[in-house]
Order: sequence, then C-alpha cells, then structure tokens
Amino acid sequence: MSTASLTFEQALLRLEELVQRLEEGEIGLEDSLTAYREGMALHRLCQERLRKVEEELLTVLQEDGSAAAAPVRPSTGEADDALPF
Amino acid sequence: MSPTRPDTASIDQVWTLSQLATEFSARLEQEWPPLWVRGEISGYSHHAASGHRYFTLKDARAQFTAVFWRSRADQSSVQPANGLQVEALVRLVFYGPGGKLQLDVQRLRAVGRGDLMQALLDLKEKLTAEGLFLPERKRPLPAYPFRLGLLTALGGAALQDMLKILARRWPLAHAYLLPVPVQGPGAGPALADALRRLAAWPGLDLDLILLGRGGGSFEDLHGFNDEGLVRAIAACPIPVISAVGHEVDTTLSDFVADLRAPTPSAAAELAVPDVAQVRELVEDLGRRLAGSMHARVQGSARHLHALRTHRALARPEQRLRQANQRLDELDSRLRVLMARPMAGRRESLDLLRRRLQVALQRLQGEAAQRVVDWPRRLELPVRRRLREGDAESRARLAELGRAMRRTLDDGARRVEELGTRLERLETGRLRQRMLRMGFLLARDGEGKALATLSGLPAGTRLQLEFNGGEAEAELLRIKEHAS
Repeated sequence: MSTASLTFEQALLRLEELVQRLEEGEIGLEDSLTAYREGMALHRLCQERLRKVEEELLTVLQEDGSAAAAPVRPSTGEADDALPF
Repeated sequence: MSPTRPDTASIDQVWTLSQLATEFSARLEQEWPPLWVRGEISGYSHHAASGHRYFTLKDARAQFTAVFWRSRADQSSVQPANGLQVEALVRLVFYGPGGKLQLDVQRLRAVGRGDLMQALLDLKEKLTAEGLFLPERKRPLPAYPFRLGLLTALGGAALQDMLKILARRWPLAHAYLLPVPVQGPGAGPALADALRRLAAWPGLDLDLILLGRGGGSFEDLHGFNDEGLVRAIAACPIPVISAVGHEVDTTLSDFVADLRAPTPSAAAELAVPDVAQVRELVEDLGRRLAGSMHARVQGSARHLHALRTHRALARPEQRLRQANQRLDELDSRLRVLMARPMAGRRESLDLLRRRLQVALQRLQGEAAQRVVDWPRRLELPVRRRLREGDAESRARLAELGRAMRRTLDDGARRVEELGTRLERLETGRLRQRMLRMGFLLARDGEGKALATLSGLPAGTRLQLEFNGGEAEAELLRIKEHAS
C-alpha cells in the first residue's frame, strides 16, 4: 500500500511500528534505511493532515437528501475567542 | 400594623405581597390539613448540598411541585424516583419566594411503578434478553475521526456544546448535522429514521455518529427509549456515541450505543482526540525516528572504528616482533647449551627442540587463526551494514594479512634452519668426541659415511677419519659376527 492512500490512523500506526523497530535495532542497516525513509514520508503525511484545519466546522444536511451549503457556526462564548473560525 | 383579614378588611386596603403570602399560608394550613394524594413522580432531583428532594407529582391532567425535606426523606423507606407511582401524605403550602403552591411531603409509599416506567422496564428486559446491550456488541471507536455525523436538534444546546468542544479539541474534523426533533410525540421513530438515513447518506462516509440532546424531564427524553431507535442504533454500520440529558439520565439509546457519554459535551470530548496531543505524538515519533537512525549510524561507525583500532589488528607487527625475539632467545639458549659439556646435553637438546617445535606450532596456529579470523570478524558486520564498505580499511586489512603471513613464513624458515644447524652441530661434535676416543669413521670412495662395512667386497677403497687426520685404506677381509 502506498503511503499516500493510508488513512491518518493507518499512517500513524505504521509510523509507530517503524520507530519501534528502529529503536529495537533488530534490523540491518540497509533495512533500517528503508524503514527510516518510509517513516519520514509517513511523518510528513501525518504533519500535513494535522495542519488541515477545517474552515467550516459544520454542514447541515437537508431533508431533500442534499448537503446544505449553509454551514452553522457555533456561538462564541467567552472561552472561544481564540477559536480558529 | 398588620392588615386585618380580607373578609373583614376594606376593599381599599393595600397588602404587601409578603403579607398576602403569609396570610395565604396560614389559611392553607388551617383549611387543608395533611392529606394523601396519588400521582407519578417526575423531574426528580436530589439536591446534593442540602439533601432535600424535589420532584413533580402528576397524573393525566394535573401536576404539583413537591418537596421532601431531608429530615423526613432520609427516614423514608420509599425513595422518590422518576416514573414511580406513589401515594404521598402532603401538606399544602405556599412557597412565597417561588410564588407557587407546593406539596410538603410528610410520608411516601409506593403503589407500583408508573405506566411509562413499567413499559420502559419491560422493553429493556426484552432487548437485554435479545443481547442488544452486551458489551461484546460494542464496536471500537475510530481513534482519529475526521468525518462526524451529528443527530440532534438544530439550534439546541446540545449542538452548540458539541461544536464548541470539536472546534477546540479537534478542528481537523468536519461535522455533518441531520437536524431532527429530539422530543415530543414521534421523536423516537423520527430519530430512528434519521439515523438510518445519516448512516447511509451518499458520499458522506462518516467515521462516527453522535446522537443526543440536552437535559429534560423523563418524558422529554423518552424518545431515546424508542424500540425502533434502539434497534436502528444496534444495526447502524457506523459506531454511535449516545449522549442524552445529564449525568443522571440514562436511556435505552445509551445502553445500546457503542459508547455512552453523560452529556453532549462529554460525547464530543470522548469522540475526538486533542489535536495538540496528536501533534505532539507525531513530532515525538519524528524525533524518535531521526534519533534512532542517527544512533544506528553512529553505532555502526563506532563498531567499525573499534574493529579497526583493535589492539591485535592495529599492531600485528608487534606480536611478530615478540615472536622473533622469542626465537632469538631460544637460539641463544641453544648456543649456551651447545657450549656445555656433552653430558646431559642430548636430553637438553631434545627437550629444547620439542619446546621449540611446540612453541612454533602454537605461534603459527594462533597467528594463522587470527589472520583467518580478523578479516571475517571485521568484514562480515561491515559488509552487512555498509554495502560499499570502507575500501581503505579493507586494503589495509589485506596488507596486514599479507605482512603477517610473510613474517610467519620467515619465522618458520628460521626455525627450520636453526633445527638443521642444531643437527649439524650436534652430529659434528659427537663425531669429534668419538674420534677422540679412538673410533674411526669410514667413508666410501665418494666420501659418504658408512654405517657398516657389512657386505662390502674385499678390495673396496675406504677413507678413514681419525682423531687428527685421515687415512686411505683398502678392505682386505670381512669377518661378520653372528647376530
């Protein structure tokens, strides 16, 4: 499975697995280089996904079966001033 | 001055509300002595600080608020509970600050469960028997849900609560709300229908569904006890978190859901991870990844360095010098021995020769083994780790191996020479001594020493060596001793 098609959870689990294998040091240098490269790609992928903050948090689905273009913004209480929307 | 009673007072007299409340309370007490009433308990709350119990007593057409003071409630064998059908001995009192008539409960006795509650308990028993609430039916929730389905009322507090938490904890997610009435007649079937549609909504591909509403009375939450909704949750292909009302409220939806959250806010908290923590986790993994690789390379470099600077490998010439020195020592001792009188010398010579051979063999064996071993010990790990290897160290290694072998060969030659010399020396000295004792050494015409004259024909020319000279002789006759 190529790295790009992984879900965030799969990518994170795979990354954890690779780090663990590298830390245990049970694999040869060549394999560890391969694992390291894959790990770096997964790390970048995870970082990118974590950067993608949704601009609109909510979509209201319409009774006619379509997804509404009219998003509802949550009310902002005093603790919400720093929220990213 | 206190106003007179209304029936005797003038219509023009103005009362304060407090005066009215006091007067009204007094009349209630006077004209309504304690009496038994029957009704169903709803909206029950147990005030944590004071310990007093508050609830509503109701039947089909009327309701009264009631208070069960702690001092009496704690003594009561029957404790209030929502849906409980009770008979209560009450005093009618007017609660001035709240502006309402209420029942001051003196005693409470049960008369069977309320109809709604009874129906609910029957349903719960039936669904439990079917295994709908078994823990093993519960599906694991996705650790990182990015697409959330919300099933609650548009504009309800529950929606606002959930969105606030989602925005704060996990702003990477997008929520899809299917608005649905969460109370009133038909709420249950409407919720069930909405859940089925939300789960199957084309293109939505949700990770998780949150279902819930804020607090309310037992009746308000009753839609979440609907059998159809419970079955829809059980059959839902997407994991469901149920959050209905407050902590104390539990509905059948909560039982059947994959996770029960006490409140809508808590549902959102439980549904998603904290993005800051996940970012930290990812960064930590990145650091560990780079760190372990760095350590790995450093470890390999250290190992290679250690092999290269290994004592024996680094200075094999020193070991060879030591071996040569040992040979020289043996040589010297040999010479000393040679200079000693003959007596006991043969034994010493034999002993010395054996020791010399043993020492040489050991030296050769060890050194040869090392020459064989060192490249293997060095090269195997190195080759395994670095495909290209270190050309310089390999060349150096090969050169060292060749040098060692050369020196060993030289050593072996020297030992052989010494042995030959020793033999020659020994034979020469022995011969001298024999000649001095009067023995003769006979050689044939070609100068070859003869061990015996037996079988030689008469007339054979011999050269005889004696102490101090040589003589030419001719064999005249041989007389052999019988053996």
